[in-house]
Amino acid sequence: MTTYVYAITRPGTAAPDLEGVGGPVRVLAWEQLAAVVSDVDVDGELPATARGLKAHARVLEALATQATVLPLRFGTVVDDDAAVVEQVLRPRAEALAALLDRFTGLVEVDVRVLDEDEVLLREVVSGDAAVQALQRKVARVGPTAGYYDRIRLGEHVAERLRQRHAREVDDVVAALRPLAVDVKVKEPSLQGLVVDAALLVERDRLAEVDAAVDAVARKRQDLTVRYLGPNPPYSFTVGEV
Amino acid sequence: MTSTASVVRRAPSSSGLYDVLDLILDKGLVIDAFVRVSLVGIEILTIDLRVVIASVDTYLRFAEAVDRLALQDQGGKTLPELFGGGSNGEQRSEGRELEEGDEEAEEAPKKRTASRAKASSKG
Repeated sequence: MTTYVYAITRPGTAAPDLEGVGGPVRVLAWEQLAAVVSDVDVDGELPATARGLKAHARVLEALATQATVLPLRFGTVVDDDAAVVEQVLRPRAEALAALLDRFTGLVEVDVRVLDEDEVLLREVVSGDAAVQALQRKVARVGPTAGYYDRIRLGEHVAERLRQRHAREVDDVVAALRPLAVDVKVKEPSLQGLVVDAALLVERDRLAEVDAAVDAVARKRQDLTVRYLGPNPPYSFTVGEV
Repeated sequence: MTSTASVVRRAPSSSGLYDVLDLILDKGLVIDAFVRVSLVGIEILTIDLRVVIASVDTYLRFAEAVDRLALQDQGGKTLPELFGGGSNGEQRSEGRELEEGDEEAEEAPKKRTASRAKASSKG
């Protein structure tokens, strides 16, 4: 039996009563640190299933509502509980304690703006004379003869759309940055996703952040705003420790 | 997922698979040799927009999209015929499919765009 490690926290954090990646979730305290773990039967590699990923996220979410947590990368597995202390906690005790101090009272919220109905594409096309001229030409000559014109039209539109998206990102970040300790803008990884931003905010100021995100959403009701959190500082704890 | 309400509420991230993937997949602290996870079938779920954008195929798709919008703007009376019935159904973004795709991650992974090479034909 191996031990799955979700996160590092401080002793005294309660184990969420949830079905984890493996067995029940436990908190393993050692000196000034604690690891949140589950028994899991992994021989070789843990498959990244949708269920496993969601279970991992749910445990971390539950922890983030009550405590300061450092999320570990999905799929962190060690031999047993003793190895959690000897191989994970003890060798990097100082670094982990420093990170816990740094993130005390802070949570991540994530704001995503989606353009599901091609609203921004419409804006780009209707507001650009060059696009319309190219479009008329393409329509006149037909698909075969207009092959390269179609590519040029598409290239032009793609570039304009990229600029339009960048402006949207700037607007959203400008509206929310004053409330955040830190902001990470992620490269949208999905078609239709315009803004993908992670904000590191004080848990005590969540109500203010809620209101600011709501104001962003009200401004652009033709776009869809997804607002997630509070989460542990996933986007701000990237890399090796 | 409602797009009509003007009030946006914070939602837990564990509800949609895409949200979870985007949040946790390459995030969180790495404890050197102890990440033991097989990402087969998962990493290909995420589509790199930068790759998609810079290709002739994409430009042609954008051109098609512009055509489609132009047709819609002309009134939309004969549109259903052009789109083989239902001018709306086919325009759903992939984002939405993934959002609702949920438990199917392992069974039906989307194919990742093959190369990161930039478009060779310009101008």
